[in-house]
Amino acid sequence: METYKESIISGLERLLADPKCFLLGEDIADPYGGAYTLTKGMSAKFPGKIINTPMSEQGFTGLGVGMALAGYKPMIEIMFGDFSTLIMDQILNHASKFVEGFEKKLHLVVRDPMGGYRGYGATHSQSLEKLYVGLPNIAVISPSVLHEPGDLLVKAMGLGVPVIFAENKLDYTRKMFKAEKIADAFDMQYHGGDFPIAEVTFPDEDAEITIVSYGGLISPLLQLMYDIYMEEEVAVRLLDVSSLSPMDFELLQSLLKDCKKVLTVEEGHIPFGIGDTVISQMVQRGMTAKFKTIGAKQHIIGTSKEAEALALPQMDEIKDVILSW
Amino acid sequence: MDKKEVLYRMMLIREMEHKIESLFSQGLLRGTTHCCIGQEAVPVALSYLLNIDHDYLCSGHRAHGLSMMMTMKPETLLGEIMGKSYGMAKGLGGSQHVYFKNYFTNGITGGMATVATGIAFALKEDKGDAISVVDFGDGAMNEGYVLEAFNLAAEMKLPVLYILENNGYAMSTPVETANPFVVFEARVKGFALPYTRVKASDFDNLYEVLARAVKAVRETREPQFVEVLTHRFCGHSKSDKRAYIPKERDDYWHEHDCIKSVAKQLSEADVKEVEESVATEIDRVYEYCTTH
Repeated sequence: METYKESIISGLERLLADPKCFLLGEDIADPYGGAYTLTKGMSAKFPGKIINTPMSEQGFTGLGVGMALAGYKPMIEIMFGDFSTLIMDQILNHASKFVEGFEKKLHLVVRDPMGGYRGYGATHSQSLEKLYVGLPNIAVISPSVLHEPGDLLVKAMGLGVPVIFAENKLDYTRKMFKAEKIADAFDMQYHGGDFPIAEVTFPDEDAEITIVSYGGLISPLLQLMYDIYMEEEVAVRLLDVSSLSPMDFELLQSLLKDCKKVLTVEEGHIPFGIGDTVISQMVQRGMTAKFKTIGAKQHIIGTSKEAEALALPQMDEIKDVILSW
Repeated sequence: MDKKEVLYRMMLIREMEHKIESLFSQGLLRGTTHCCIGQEAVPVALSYLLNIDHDYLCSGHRAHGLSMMMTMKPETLLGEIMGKSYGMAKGLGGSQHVYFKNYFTNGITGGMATVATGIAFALKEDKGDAISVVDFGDGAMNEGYVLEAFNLAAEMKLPVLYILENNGYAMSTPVETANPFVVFEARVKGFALPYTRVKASDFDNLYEVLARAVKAVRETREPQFVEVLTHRFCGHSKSDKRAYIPKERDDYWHEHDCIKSVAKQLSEADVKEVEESVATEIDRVYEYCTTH
């Protein structure tokens, strides 16, 4: 697909073709067609399958859990990922317990758009996927402009455990990276199975620093890598992890084994972030590189550009870290 | 309906619960438990009204009665609490987290009301006549997502039967304290759910009310709500000494015990025979679970 949004739409439509699959969420039916217009036109295309719900995230997520328990394949759309705090009990204390406790495959995907940089403020800008990682029988998948989100969405439905599918709101406006002009400057390789780790390098260049990141920051990071390479002749390598939980630490270790410096970048708050766990796992496996984490600082995400910059990672700051390390 | 069999099922639940309480108090069982002594009527009525291969039933922490009525194999419940591999959830779930065919329980108050509503969505789409039933207590009536589920079921017209077993106390908190300005009837009718209230003290009457509600959900594919006024003669959980329950309330319910309403329809000899077969079954189950 040319764009991230087209890819998601394609994934939704492939899933909705299954009679057992439904999409439930707020304001997703026509004529509104969803807060990001992803489902515009789908009500006519899939009659009775795009279910507009009252504003009851806990309630309609529980509805999805019950549907999955009865053999259906519901997708739940949470309008802003921030609201995924409301659904945690149904995902953690119900759905995830049923997988092992009742020996049931649950086909249930919660689409959870995360991310800031849009001036929406403290309760509409967070990246909360870290609340759901590391828990048994919950998968957290994060597509990016390097991973076809529609394909990952279809595969996520096949996992048989409840999935937090952490999309990114800014990515809805972006092209897939391979459609970007600067993509030609890079080599891209995919490692692993259904939810691969993407590796992006500059041809014939050894990079001293490898960035490990995911989700909505991948697009600006690739632009930053391009700019630094062109302006400063510094080559940086990027690993983009699409399955945050479970994460293939063995594969990641093999991809990081000769690295001297590893920089993790995430939009969510640190410490206690995804990067901290990646580093801990690498250190426990005997890796001796230098490590740094970048993530949101310990402030609420303010609405003004300046306030937002106090919290969310800024590309200038990442550039300084790369060049001065 | 064979009333001897009804009495057998009710007494089996009660005596099994006494056995479980006794094993806990002797320190022979691990974890915690929530018995349903006094609340046997609903599980027994549902054992006649639902086909668990076809219909779905969800419940919460106080579900030993339902578990025994769905499996009719008490050793799979006691075995589960004892952590045995032949337990309902292979020893993983203990007292609160069990399943059997289309019957599921979980330990979070009220959560299964929401799940059962989702099951009803699926059953409506299936276009058959199976229904979703969920049994919960008065404590669940103040959980936000339970109220969200009522609203969703009413709005989407889903084939779900909500059974509220109001035993007067959310753990130790009296219904009147937790809901000072609300009676459940008004709350439920506020969601436009068809509502019926019945006392558990008369089994036949309770059975009739539940049978009508089950039939209505099955035929209309729309929700129903039944509030059952009941009482538990045991503590909330294994360590609860019931200091909050006034003696007059216990006395009233001893007089209006659901088991008495069935026993009085039988001869003394029949009742004695039932008592003996229950005792034999409890011994068999205990023997099985301690030797397997």
